[in-house]
Amino acid sequence: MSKSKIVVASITFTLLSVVLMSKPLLMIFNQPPESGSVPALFIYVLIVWLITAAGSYLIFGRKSDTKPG
Amino acid sequence: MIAERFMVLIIVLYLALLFGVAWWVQKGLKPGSSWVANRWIYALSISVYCTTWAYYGSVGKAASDGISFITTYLGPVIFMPLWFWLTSKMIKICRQYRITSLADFISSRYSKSSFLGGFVAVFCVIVIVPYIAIQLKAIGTGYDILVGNQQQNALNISSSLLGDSNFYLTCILILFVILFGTRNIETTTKNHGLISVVAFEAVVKLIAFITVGCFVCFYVFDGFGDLFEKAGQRADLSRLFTLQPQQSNEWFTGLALAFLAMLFLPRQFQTAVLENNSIQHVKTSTWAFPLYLLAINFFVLPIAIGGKLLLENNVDPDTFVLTIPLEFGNYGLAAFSYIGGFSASTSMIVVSTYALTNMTSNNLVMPLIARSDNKETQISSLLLLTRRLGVLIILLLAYLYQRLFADNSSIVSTGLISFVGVVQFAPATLLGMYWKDGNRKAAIASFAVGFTIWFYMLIIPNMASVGMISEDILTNGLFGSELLKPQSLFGISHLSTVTLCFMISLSLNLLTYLSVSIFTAQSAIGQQQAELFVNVDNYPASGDGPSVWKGTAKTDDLKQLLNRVLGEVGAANAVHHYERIHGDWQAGNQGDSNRISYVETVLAGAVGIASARILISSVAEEEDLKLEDLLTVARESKELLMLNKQLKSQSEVLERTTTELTTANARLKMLDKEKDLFISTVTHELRTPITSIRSFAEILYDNPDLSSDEKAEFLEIIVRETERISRLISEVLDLEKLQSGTVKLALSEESITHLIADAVASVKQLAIEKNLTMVNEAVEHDFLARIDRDRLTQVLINLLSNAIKYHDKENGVIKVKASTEGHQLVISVADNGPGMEREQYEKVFQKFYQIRKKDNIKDKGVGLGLAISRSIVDLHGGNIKISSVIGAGTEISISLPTLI
Repeated sequence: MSKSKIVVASITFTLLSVVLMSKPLLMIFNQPPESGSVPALFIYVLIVWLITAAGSYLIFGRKSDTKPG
Repeated sequence: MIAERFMVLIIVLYLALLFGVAWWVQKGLKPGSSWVANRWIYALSISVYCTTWAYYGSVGKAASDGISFITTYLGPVIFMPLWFWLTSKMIKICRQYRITSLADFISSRYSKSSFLGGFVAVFCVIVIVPYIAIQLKAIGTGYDILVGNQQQNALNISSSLLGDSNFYLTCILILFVILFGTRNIETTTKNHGLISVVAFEAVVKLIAFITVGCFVCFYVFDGFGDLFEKAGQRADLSRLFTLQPQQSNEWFTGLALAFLAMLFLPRQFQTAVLENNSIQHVKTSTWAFPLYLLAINFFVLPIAIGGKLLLENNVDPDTFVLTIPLEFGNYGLAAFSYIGGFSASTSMIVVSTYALTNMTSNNLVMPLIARSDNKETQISSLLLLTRRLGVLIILLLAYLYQRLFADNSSIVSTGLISFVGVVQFAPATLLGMYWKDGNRKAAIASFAVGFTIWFYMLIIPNMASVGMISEDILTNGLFGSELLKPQSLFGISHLSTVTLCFMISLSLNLLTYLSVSIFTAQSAIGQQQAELFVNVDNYPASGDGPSVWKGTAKTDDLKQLLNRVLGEVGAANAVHHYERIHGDWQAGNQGDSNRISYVETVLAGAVGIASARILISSVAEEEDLKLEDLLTVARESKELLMLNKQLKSQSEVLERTTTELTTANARLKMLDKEKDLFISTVTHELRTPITSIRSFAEILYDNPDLSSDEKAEFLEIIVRETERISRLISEVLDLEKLQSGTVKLALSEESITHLIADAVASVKQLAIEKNLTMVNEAVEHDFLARIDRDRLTQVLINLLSNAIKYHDKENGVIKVKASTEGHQLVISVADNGPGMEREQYEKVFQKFYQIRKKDNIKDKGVGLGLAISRSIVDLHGGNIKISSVIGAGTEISISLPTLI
């Protein structure tokens, strides 16, 4: 990926993460759990967490052809 | 409970293991290379972010406030891409200008101000020492719980030092940091030993925490479902699964606070920026670190609710990771869990102490020593002594704080106060990296505003709570004003004090920075430093680039200064490095700014930028910088950069030309070889008929009495051989003309059917003689093509006569076909003859190559027919190819892009 693409991808992904963690979206999942089930908010946060890590991997994780400086 | 002797033994063994790891790594290092400098160790070392706050405090916080504890760890995660860019730029700046700490970074950006450096160092000590103290306290509390020694919690300063296990631990940590952190004079040298211990402890704390998590979820309870079901039946616990209104309001500020703290905590700056070996490692950490944080936080909520369900209300939730295993009699797990917490705290203590020591020695003590310098002091020995004393003082301060005050505050609240403290560096540091107009006065003013608010809102209430000051200010506000109450400043009471302080202090801090920068001017050196920071990519790496220094300095004085700071060996290395890049150390005039700047940068790596500048001023007579000087330097840098680019592109051109020349040379050599081969083959081919002609002519000459039949036979041989020579010569000439490109094709629109019919007619007789059937399948469709009729007929006749010549079967068939493939005309000649080996496909097109017939008799042709055919097809822009099956026949097809 070229540097400009990485910059745009970084900005886009940070904005996406911020939106996913914004109050209105968070409130959708902020419900008391049904008996015996894992709280929805807990699961939602875990999913966003994984999405964010996966996004970082897609942007930065793949081996680039540049030599480590 | 666990026997005290046993716990002491475990701790001593674990500490010995840590010393062993550091010693082993440090010992095994070869200069310039290290297996420790890899991306996984880097990613693990930045997880020094997870202290006892993550290990003990998060569970406590989750048990009281529920899921909102997660913001501290989720904040860095969701801003990871941003973290990558900011950290990468910081790394570049630090590497380029040999920056040794956060204080050095800020001081260097703002006019190399020693005041700012000192201010940042002092403030960091004030903010971080309590944070270190709380880690020490966590170790002590954990120990007391394990050995059932509750009364020691109530220790005060009057009790014996010697009876306090934490005192011994502090001493061991002091020894550890001194041994592995203050070995080199140059603080820019990477501390692989120390970092490897941090990485090792990161693994230990993760495994320990996950083990306790699994124990609670799958041993004590019957999985997550069971745990959450039981918790759901209790109103006080099901409340923990959702965000309360105030928590949801503070959610986003919590994320932002954690992210900024992750950038500016001295231990994070140390591991992520100063100890970094490659930007590639930062890239890996952008996903590896979030996964680490996820793993260590996954079981926090289950352990918290597990503890709440299992244990009495009077058990401190901060200690659940120890008390749950103890409650179930699993002492081994409790001890292992304690070692996890021990790892979390010791790694934080070691790195923070090391970072603070560098700051205080380089930005607080060294400027004082440099100012009062009598030009004879051996600074190198003073430097190490200062740092060692620094370690001692900082850790003893933390120990004292722990004994005096730490009982009054929880891990999380102390941590949060530190977080809000360090983020005060954010506006000046971050904007300073991207905005050249930010200046020193603005930085000082913004820090002053930010820290005053921080102190007023977060420290004053703590001081009042321990009775250091009257609580009057909390209840009535400053000057009796309701609006100035520290915990609800400006009358805002619906937010927690930490969130409120974070928002107010950071906003006013930022506002001050921007307005002072806009309304005040920047000094020349400030402009230079701003340019060097903002456009760091424009300057050559490793501090050998242009820098502004106007003044004169004797080379001997500079050398002596290097000697005093770096020692004889260090100074000699520095001079040697200079000579490799800039040439003779002694050359040039006394005002050579390159040399002075170089020495300043080298010294900065050891004593910090501000002190280096003071030391240089002591031997150099500096003149005031003017704007023109800056412009000159900027221009020179730009020119240098352009020259560099030009040189790069020229060397690329040169490289390309060399490659082309090499290829051309190889081709010439090959052609030369081919020419030699050609000449020798032609001579050989000529000699055979000539020898034959000569022999028969001699026989005729020497034997006039030969019978007329014999004479006729010999003469026929002579005529046949002469024809052979003449054919050879004309074919060689033809081929030479075709290959040299001197032949121009006489292109015209021709009917392919006619062309094939003519060629077939020419060789029909030969086929009849060999009893072969010629099938012309090209009569059905006619195509028009733009070709050289004579030449292409020559090719076809050649292919057909070859097919006839080499056919060895009775009733053989030779088919000629013509078809189209897109815009290509394809003519093929196929026979059902003997076929040929695959390796002969290419050889048959070589000059003078002939396939031996079955009877091994050499053909009367000269072996140039297919070579000529290929040249003619090439000239038409087409290609010729062979496919053959041994025993089943051969097909040769010609593709020509000449269809109309």
